[in-house]
Amino acid sequence: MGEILEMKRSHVGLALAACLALAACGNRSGQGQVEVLRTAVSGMFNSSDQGNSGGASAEELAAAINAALNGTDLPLSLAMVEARNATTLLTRIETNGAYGTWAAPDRRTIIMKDGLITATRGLGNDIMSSETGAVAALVTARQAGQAQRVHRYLDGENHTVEMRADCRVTRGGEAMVKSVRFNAKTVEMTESCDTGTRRFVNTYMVDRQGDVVQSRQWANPEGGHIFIQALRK
Amino acid sequence: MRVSKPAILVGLVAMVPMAAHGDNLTTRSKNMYGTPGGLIDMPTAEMAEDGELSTTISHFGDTTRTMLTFQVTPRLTGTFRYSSLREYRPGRGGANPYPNSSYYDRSFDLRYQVMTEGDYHPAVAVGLRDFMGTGLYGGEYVVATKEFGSRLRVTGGVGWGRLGSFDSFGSTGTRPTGLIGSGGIPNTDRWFRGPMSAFGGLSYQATDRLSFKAEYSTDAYLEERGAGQDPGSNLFQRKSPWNFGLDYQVSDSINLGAYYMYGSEVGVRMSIALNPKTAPIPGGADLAPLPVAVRPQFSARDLGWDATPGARDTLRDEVAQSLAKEGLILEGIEAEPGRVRVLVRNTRWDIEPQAVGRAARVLSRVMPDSVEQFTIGQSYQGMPTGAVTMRRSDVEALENAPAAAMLDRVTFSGDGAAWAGMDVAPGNYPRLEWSLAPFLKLGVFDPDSPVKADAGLRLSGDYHVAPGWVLSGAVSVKAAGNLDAPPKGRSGVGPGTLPKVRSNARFYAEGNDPRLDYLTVAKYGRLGEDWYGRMTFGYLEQMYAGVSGEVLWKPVGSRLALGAEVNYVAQRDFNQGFGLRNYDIATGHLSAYYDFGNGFHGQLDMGRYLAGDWGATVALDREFDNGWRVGAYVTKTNVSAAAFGEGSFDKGIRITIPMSWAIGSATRNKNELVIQSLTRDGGARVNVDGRLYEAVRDSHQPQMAKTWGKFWR
Repeated sequence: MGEILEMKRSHVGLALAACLALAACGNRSGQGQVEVLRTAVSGMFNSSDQGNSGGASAEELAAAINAALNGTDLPLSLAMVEARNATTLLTRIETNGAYGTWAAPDRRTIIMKDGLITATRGLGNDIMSSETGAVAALVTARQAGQAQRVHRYLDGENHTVEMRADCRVTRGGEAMVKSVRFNAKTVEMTESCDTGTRRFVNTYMVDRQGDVVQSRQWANPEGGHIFIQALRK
Repeated sequence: MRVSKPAILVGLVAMVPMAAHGDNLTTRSKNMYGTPGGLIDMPTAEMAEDGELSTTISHFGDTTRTMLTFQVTPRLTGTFRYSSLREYRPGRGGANPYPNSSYYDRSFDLRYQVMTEGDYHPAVAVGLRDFMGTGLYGGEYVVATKEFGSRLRVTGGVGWGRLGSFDSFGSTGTRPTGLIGSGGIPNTDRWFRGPMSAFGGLSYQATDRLSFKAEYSTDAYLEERGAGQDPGSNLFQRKSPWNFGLDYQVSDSINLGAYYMYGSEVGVRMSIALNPKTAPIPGGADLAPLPVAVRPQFSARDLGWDATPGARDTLRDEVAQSLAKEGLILEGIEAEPGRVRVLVRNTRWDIEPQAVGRAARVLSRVMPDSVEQFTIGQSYQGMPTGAVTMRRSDVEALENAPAAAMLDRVTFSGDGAAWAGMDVAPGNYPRLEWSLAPFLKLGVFDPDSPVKADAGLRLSGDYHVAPGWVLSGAVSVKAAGNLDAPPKGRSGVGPGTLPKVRSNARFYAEGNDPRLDYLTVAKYGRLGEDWYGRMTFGYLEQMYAGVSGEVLWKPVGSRLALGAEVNYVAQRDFNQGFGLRNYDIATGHLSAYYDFGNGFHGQLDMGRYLAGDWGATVALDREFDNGWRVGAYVTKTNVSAAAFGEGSFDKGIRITIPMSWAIGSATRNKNELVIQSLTRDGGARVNVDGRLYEAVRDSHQPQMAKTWGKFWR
């Protein structure tokens, strides 16, 4: 009896101590600065974890890919955000017309149309929407030419800002792309873009059907390039 | 030489038309007065980047100054300064009201670039230093700066007041003297009067980070050297009018300066700058929203879904669960075969279009195919505020289009009565929200001491009884602090002759017993399509108990809102128990709120204040669309400056910092910083929680349209 009471008391003490240590307790959402800070800090740890997964061994990655391929019938891709050095699996969880939403397990998404990134969500400085149709037409037809692309971003005040780029698409040599599940005979298409203040280059490996099976595409000034390889179309 | 003030003004006005095009001549350097500028003690015509907010600490000659500077518009700079002068004692030898070892002084500067720089003419600025304080740093100037090449900038100007106190070449009338009064009134009788001197200097940008500077100072520093209000002061020796130094841009935000000043002293300065327009993570780092689910073409128009028994409850629960994952709490739903209306409480998103967009995505995934119209309404304290109505087909078609396309298709509505028929979602009423957290109550930049504070623990709770009915209370215990310290020096001088409606503050801070911060019952409700109401009864705040009623008129598409508030309150006992003191009064205000649409927001309150004085408060804020706000307000009532006491009338500057900006992901938390005059009894108002305007406004069209790009984020 005495022991139980003792325990209860110490639990109350612990709860109170926890409140004070965490600088707040209660059931209000977002109740204090400290909680916000804690969220931010745990966010930092999470992103560093992803950084570590980027350094996962080839066997671990292969095992994860196989598990994913066997676990779902949905189209899958492998993606790497180069600035973060984080490799992740993307599952196409939804389509809207020609647009597909590809999701990583940590709830960040890339939206693609005809193999070209048209938007991202959750990467920071996301492309909100874009016009990539003219470039995509050249790339998927494996044809050289000139085209314009438009990206829309949010600025620091949440205003939509447009980035227009003049791009030159060139046709390179043939190359084999070896993925986990298939080998594809592709042509390397290179897209060189100039916004007037910035230049970036995207490359696409396009197979005979006009599908982009592997690419390296520029997303935003902070995130840099994203590498994407199709695992299952 | 004598130049009349009108002549100078005419000259300045004549220059204005030339300012139509040109360069603002921006700089990242700050001077010893915390103002953007490439020189040391002297001003220049240079500006900071529009919107930049900076703090500067500078020290030399036993004087430390802390400054907060804001680039209000591309051509207008405002600075607040809190200075500490060691062993400076105005009135030394007489009855000394300044017993502290340091003298603390607050001052404000304004500077306007009347002409931007052109190819063949310099940028010209007119500035007022310490234009409404005690006048310790009082000085006015007209200054021109021109850049030669891309590295050298040359500045020359004419100064009055302190800036005309050395080597003057002429005079414009007589400048009234006398330094320390109650302060706080624009010293218009002094502006551009008295002896004037020509100052100047140059700055050379040696590298991207390093710049050198040299100047000729016309500030004689009479006050600091015993020739002013304190005959005994001797803060430093002024051996030369020449100052030399350098500054170094350490990072994007930090700029350091080191100077050799007046032939005898080393001066140092550190400035930290940030621009609210640029966010650490533009667009935020929130996790991805759900993708929109597109209905199959020619999908079954399953109009009969609502006939199935239990279908509505199942649907409601599903909607509630999916919304909850997005930080949106479903308060009510009204589902019909062709349309659905949901009322949500937003607990996460500081940018409302993002909340509405997330809700729209959820509805696209959950609602039966026949539902073509979504109405997403927001609730504040159980009271519906604004709502957005959209076609589901548009949500499907425009998911990957520019956000403006969606904005063109939605309609905003503020009709509160439309929610009368909704099913209240379970779990909302009654509900208790509570927290136990430490608190810190700060008093900063007081004339007696730079910082005062109380710290302790507070238990608070809100019990939401039914939609619109909230019972709130808070109890706190002080652990330590000095807010109850007896006044010494100026804050105790001349408290005025009004009823003590606020100046008893320190008695409320005395003792360590638990105190009741507030205990109220409040009712929020709609009084018509454009009308909102609040009634609060109980222990409203630390010092007052009573009843407070408010009515707000705010059409959903209007940038103008009008409000009225009436309070009848009695002063509470100092111990903040349930007792009342023998002072009661009816107060109230008529308010007008206007969003100028160019980033500025104004508010005018007219009415009766706590001491029975009548008057008005004017507030002007620069608002950034990520939630940052920087503003100022003044209150003038029919109380004489003498009856008011130091400061002469109530005024202050305020800054709101959204936490989402700092951490990069959505949160409704924000920090508010207010620097105001001494707490006096004139122009004081009751602090009531839950004033309507901000909450209502956020869900309305003008405010949501500004950040509509976040709808799809």
